Amino acid sequence: MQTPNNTNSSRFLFALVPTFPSIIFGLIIVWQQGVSSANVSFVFLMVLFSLVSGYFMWVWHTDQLERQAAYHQKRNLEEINKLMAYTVELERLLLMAGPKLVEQVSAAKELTEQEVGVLIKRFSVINGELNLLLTVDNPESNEQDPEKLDNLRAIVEKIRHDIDIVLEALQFQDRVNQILALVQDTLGTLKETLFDIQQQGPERHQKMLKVDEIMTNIQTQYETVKHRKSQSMPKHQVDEATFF
Amino acid sequence: MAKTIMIVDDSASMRQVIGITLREAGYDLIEASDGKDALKKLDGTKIHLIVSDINMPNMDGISFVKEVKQHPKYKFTPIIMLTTEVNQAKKDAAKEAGARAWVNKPFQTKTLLEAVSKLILP
Repeated sequence: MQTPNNTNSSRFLFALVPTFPSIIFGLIIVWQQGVSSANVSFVFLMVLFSLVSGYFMWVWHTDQLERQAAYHQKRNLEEINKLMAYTVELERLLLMAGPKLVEQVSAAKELTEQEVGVLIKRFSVINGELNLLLTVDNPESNEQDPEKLDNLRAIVEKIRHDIDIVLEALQFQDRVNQILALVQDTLGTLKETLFDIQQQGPERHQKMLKVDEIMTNIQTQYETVKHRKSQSMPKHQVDEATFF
Repeated sequence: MAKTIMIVDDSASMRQVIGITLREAGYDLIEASDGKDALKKLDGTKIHLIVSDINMPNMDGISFVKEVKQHPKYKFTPIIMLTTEVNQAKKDAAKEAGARAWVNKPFQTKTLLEAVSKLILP
């Protein structure tokens, strides 16, 4: 930054630039033609002219610099304003989209829960009907061939076994719920963080986004789910009960 | 008379799956959606066994087990943790809190029924 002192000294130095050749030229004239009032007056006028022209050159130069500085400042300010408007819009988008996404995740969670519930109920009814088929006191069936009855029992048992497998598979819903709950939590955290920062107005740079910290937390939570998933792969290992 | 089992799980579909398995085996059921809800339902009714999840809102499974173990009427009721959790620290915490068994989800009907029949009160 320029201070009054270095402004004065730079003005003096700038004015000296064209003065130096005049002084040297004047010294050469005096040396060649001797000291006379005409020569001294000529050299004095030449030096004076050089100083004045140097001063005007300095004024012109500083004026050009100021113009350029003002131009760049204006251009930078425009860029900063554009960037600021973009940031504000981005914040607004995230703050508005966040709750919508949470809503959609929640709806997806409820819908899958509902649909899986309907399926499970249906399988439960089928299971009950199969039980009835085996236990019903049907005189006609009693008269049937015992071999046929055994076959029927075997088929019913197989269907029940298949239903058990389907019911086991439908437990995926529990894991889906966990993952969706995690997504909801993450979106909630992001929204809160952005809201806190937005509340700071133009001074928002004072509380910067702790991106790494937030990402580490999200990563840890998802790692836990991934870990559970990978751990649940070897079925023979986890399918046994542990007694304490 | 059929024995009564309490199922504590925040997922309705999981409660249904466990419910089908246990009803088929002839047990009566009481369902609760989390630890707090379950504590409210421990109203003096004879409960022969509790099957509880771990990760639940309001009150998690381990806190629930600790509360049950403080309850004069239910402190001897065996509790099975039925969970997707594989963290050994959680397993140890459940054991320390007083749970009697740990079964991983997704479970096979046979595994749950074996654990239930082994632990259920006479």
